[in-house]
Amino acid sequence: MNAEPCERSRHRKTESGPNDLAAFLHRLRAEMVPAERGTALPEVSNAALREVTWEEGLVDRFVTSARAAGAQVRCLAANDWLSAVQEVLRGHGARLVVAAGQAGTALDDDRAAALGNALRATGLSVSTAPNDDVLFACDAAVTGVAAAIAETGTLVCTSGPRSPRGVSLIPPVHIALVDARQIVGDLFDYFARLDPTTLPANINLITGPSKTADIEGILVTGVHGPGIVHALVLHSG
Amino acid sequence: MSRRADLRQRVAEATRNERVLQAVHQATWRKADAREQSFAALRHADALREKAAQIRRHTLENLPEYLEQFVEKATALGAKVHFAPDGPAACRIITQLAADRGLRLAVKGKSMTSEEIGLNAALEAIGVRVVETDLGEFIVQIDRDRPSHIITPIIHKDRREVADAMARELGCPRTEDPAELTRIARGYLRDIFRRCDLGITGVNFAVAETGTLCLCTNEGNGRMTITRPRVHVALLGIEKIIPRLANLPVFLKLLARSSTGQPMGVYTTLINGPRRPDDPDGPQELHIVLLDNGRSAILKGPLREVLTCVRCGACLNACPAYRNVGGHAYGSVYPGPIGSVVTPLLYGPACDDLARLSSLCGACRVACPVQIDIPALLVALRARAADRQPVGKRLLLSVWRRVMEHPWLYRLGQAVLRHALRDADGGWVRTGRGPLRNWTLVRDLPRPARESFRQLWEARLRDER
Amino acid sequence: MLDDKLDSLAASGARLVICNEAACTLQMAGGAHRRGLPLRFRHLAELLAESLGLMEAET
Repeated sequence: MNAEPCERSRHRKTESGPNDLAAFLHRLRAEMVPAERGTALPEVSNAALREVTWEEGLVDRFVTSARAAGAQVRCLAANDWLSAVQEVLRGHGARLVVAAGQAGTALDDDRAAALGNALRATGLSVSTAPNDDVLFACDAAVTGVAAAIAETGTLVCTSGPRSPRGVSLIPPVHIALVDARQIVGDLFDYFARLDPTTLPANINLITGPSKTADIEGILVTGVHGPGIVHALVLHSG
Repeated sequence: MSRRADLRQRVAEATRNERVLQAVHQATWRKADAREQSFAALRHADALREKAAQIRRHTLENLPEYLEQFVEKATALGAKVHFAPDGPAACRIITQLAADRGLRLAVKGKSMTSEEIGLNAALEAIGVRVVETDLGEFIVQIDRDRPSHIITPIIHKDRREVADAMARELGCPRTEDPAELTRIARGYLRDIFRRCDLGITGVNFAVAETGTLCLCTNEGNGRMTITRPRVHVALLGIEKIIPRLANLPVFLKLLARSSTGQPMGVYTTLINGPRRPDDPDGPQELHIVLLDNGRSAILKGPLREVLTCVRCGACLNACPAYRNVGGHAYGSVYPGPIGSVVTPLLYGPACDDLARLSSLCGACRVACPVQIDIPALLVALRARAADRQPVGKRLLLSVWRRVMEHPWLYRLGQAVLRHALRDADGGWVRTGRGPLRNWTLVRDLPRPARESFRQLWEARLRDER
Repeated sequence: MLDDKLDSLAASGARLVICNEAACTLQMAGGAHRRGLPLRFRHLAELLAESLGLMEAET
C-alpha cells in the first residue's frame, strides 16, 4: 500500500522511557497552563434539553420512533404474548429458535421455558441456553429488554447469565418483548436511571435493524446484526 | 518534490477523475441535507451543541484528572489499561500481546486511530491476519485502496468497482446489486467472526466516572468484534474521555444526526470491562490502549479546541472544497476540514499547506456538533506557517498588505487596473493577459468603475452641505 | 466551487444578490456573467442608497 504523504513525516521523537502513564500525567499536569483550566462542567440536569417531555404518550412515541428506525412494532395485551410470538415466528418460517430469558424482563426464565415448551409442541427446535452453533444456525431469537426509549425507538439489551451478547446480534431475526411500563421517554431518562456502580459488562442500545449505506449510499439492512427486528409491546390490565 | 507540489498534484489528479468527483459531490450534498433536516427536527439543537462543546472543553482542561479516574475505574472492572506515547509504542503493545497469546486472526471495527498508527501493517508483520469488518473498510481492504471519508470510506467508489473487487478477491459470482454484495460480504465475514481470536476497535467515548467504553455503529460489526474473540483491544486517543455517564446522551443525541442524519445510530454499545464470571459470552480479556501520539502537545497549545472533535464527519459533508476534490487529495488519514487542522498538528510542518485547502466559508463551523471554530483554527495555522512560505509569495503578500493598509494605494491600484482593462468589451474582460489570465479561465472580470461607491458617496455628502 | 455557488443561486430564482465581500462578489459576478445568468450583485450599502433615492440605481 503506497504511503500517505503525511504518514512518515513525524518530527516528534518517542517520549523517553517506558509507557508510563503516571509519569506522563505528572508531566502533563505540570505543563498545562493553570489559568486556562477554568471551564466548569455543565450541570448534568438536562430538563431544558429533553426531546420527550413527561406528559407525552410514551408508548405511541416509542412505536412511531421504532418504526421510523425500521423495526416492526405491535402493541398487544400482555396475556397474548405467547401467541403473538408464535405468529411472528410462523411468518418467518422459523424452525430453530433461541429463547433467552432474563430476570426482570418481559421474557423471564419461566416465560422462556414456557415459550420453549409451546414451540416444541408445534415441532420447532428451541434452545434456552444456546451455544455458538445454535446461535449461528438459528432462524430467530426471542428476548426481553432491560428498557426501551421512546425518543428514539430504542431497545436496551444487557448481558447476563442466560442472555449472551450474541443473542440480539447473531440471529437474522430478533423478537423483543417489551413491557409498556419499561418504556422511558428520553435518552436522558435512561441514563439517569443507570447505577454507575452496578453496570453489566455489556449494554446494547438497539435502534432498528442492522444497516449500511456504504455502497453508493443505498440503504441495505441485515449487514452483520439482525436484518429484522420485532418489538412486541405488552400492556397489562 | 516539495510538499506544495504534492498537494497541487493531488488536487489536480483528483479534479481529473470525473466519476469519483460526481460520486463525492452527490453523496456529500445528500448527507449535508440529511444532517440539516435531522437537526431541524431537534427541539434544542443549539443548546445541545453548546452543552456538548462545554463538556468537551471542560474535559480537556482537566484531562489529567479524568484520565486518572478512567484508568482507575476501567481497571476495577477488569480491563487492562496501557499507555502509548506514540504510534510505534501502541503497535508494540498490541503486537506483543497478540504474540504472547498466540493470536492469529484479528477482526477490526472501524478505527481511524488504528489507521493513524499503521496498526494493520504491524500486526501483519508478525503473522496476524487482520480483517476489516466495517463494510466500506472491508471493501477498501480487499481492493487495496484507501478510505476517503472518515464515516463513509468508499464514498468515492461505485457499485461496479465494488462488484469487481469482490468477485476478484472472494471468488464469488459477480453482481452489482448492493443488497446482494452486502449479503456476500456478510456471509464471508460471519465465518471470520466465528474463527477470530482478536478483536480491535476504536472507541467513540470513554467515560471517566465508570470506566465505560462507548462504541457507536450501524452494521453490527463493532458488536461482533467485541463479542466473538477472546481478546478485545480498544484503541483510543486520550482526548476521547468524557466525565460522566450522564453526559453521554448529550453526545448520542448529536452524533448520529451529524454523521448520517439519523436520530440515533443502530447500535450504541456500552462496554464495562471484559466478560464477567457468569456471562456466557464476551471477551475474556479487555485491553484498553490510550494513545498520545501528539495529542498532548496540541492540548498544551492554543489550538486545543480541535481535540473536542467527535469524529462525526459533518464538516466533510458541508465543505465545498472537500465536495469538489474528495478525500484522497488531502493525503491524510484525516481528510476534510477537521483533517486540515489535525494533520499539520499531528504530522508537522510538512503538511502545512492543507490549511490552505479552504475558502474559509465557515460551513464546517455551522455543521459541527461541538462548535469547533475550524476557520479560526485554519487562519491560526496559516499564520504559523507564514514564515515557511516561499520568498516570492511573502513579497507579494507584503505588497498586498501595504496596499490594503493605505487607501490611497488602493485607489491608485484601482486606477491602474481600470486603465489596464480599458479595452474591455462592454465593461467585461473575457480573456485576461499576464497575471489576470488564470482568473479569466472560468469567469469574466469586470472593469473597475470610474468612481468607487465611497467616492460617489462623499461627493454626494459634499453636495448636500 | 464556483459552479456549486452559481447552481445554488440559479436554483433559488433570485435576481438580485446582496454580498458585502468584494472578492466574493467579483468571483460570483464574474462567473454569472460568463454563464449568462440574469443576476445582479449589490453591496448592502448600495442597495440602501438606491432604495433611499440617494443614488442612481445602475442596471
